[in-house]
Amino acid sequence: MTSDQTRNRRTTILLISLFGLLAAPGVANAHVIQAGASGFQSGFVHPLTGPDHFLAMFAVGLWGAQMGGRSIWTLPVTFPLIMVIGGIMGILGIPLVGIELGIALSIIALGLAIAFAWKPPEWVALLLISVFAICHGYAHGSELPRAADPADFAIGFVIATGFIHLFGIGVGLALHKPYQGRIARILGGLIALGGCYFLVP
Amino acid sequence: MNSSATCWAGPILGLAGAVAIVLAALEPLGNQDLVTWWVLHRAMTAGNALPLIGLGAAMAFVRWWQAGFGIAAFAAGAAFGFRTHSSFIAFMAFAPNAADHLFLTEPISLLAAGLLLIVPVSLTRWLVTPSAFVIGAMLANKIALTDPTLDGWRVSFIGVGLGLWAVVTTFLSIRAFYKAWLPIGFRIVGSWFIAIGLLYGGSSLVARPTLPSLPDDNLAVPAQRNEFPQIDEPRRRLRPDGFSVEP
Repeated sequence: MTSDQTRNRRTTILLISLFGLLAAPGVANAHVIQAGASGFQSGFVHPLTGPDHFLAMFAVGLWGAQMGGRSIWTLPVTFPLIMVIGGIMGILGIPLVGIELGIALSIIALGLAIAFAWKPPEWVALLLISVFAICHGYAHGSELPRAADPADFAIGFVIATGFIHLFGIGVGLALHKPYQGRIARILGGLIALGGCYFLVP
Repeated sequence: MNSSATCWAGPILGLAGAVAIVLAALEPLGNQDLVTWWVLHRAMTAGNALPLIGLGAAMAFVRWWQAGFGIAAFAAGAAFGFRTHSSFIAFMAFAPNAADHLFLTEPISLLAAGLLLIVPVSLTRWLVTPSAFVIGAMLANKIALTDPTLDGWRVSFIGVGLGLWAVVTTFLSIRAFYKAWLPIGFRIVGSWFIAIGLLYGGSSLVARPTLPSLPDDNLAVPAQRNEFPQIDEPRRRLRPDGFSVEP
């Protein structure tokens, strides 16, 4: 096989993959439960199958790893703790407006922070994370009382969220050195673009 | 030799217990006794196992004697939990929907384990004993609530034994393969425990929405029919010679 043929084959695979991505639905799947949530499996799959939630959680881990120092763990620790406040507000049915917009903005802001390698003081990063965590927690919390087994559902989705954070930290630490962290910054840009996708109604 | 034995004690203990549980699970359902069924379907749940694993992990970050106190406190808490089970139920009965969620024993355990993991190690050594006591007491209450044998001590002993096995296995395994980043990693896990405990507790307290009732017009209501008409009939009086008299 000549180099031209190989290049053409790669281009075709890339184009097919891109068309496959375009075919993905544009709704915020992490916060839609069609027929009532059930147990652990449902809770675990919930954040993994919703691209908006997945991108935000991944970005939290990636940003923490990019900032380095204490932020590697303070950001992923703060997120679920503050998410609980939003979750309880959702469980109690306290009305909050612009939750879906907040979720989309969280992806854009976190993506841009990574893209520009922004390293603010720790309290600023934690404050930003906390606002976003309330939006994500509210969306999940409003679904919890409908779950057939709230215990297993909560355990499943918090553990999955934590794993996405850890995945983000791992990727962030792995991409810290190569090309002076440029790959991580490009990833941040792509995450921000993904957030723009969720702004479109 | 000695250090190697200490190093592998945790994994070997864990493996032995896991093999025993798998062998019990392989037994056909009809051959399983009530206690085996309870172990497989009530004791082996994520809500039960997570606080025990958390407690074992936290014990690995403190001194040996402090961990020993923790294990003793866990056993004492379990004994206290069995002893005060009725009082605990009466106390927790005031919480909405508590009876549907094992009187919130799992969220309380998760909060105790999460708090123990999230605090700095300097505080962990002070909190390990009271947290172990609370987790032990909650385990005992959960065992008492799910025990299918009613007042049989076998389930209680096996339940506490399984709890101790989970705590000691985690403690020995993490202690043997300790890495400097482990306390930080478990601090992240501790935040998950607290989040799970608070969300589960919160969702339990909120009443589940009821299904909307169907409109009456669409309901096909069967005509009322008295299946036992003789009950509504006035009682016939009997004369002394055995003949009935119309009322």
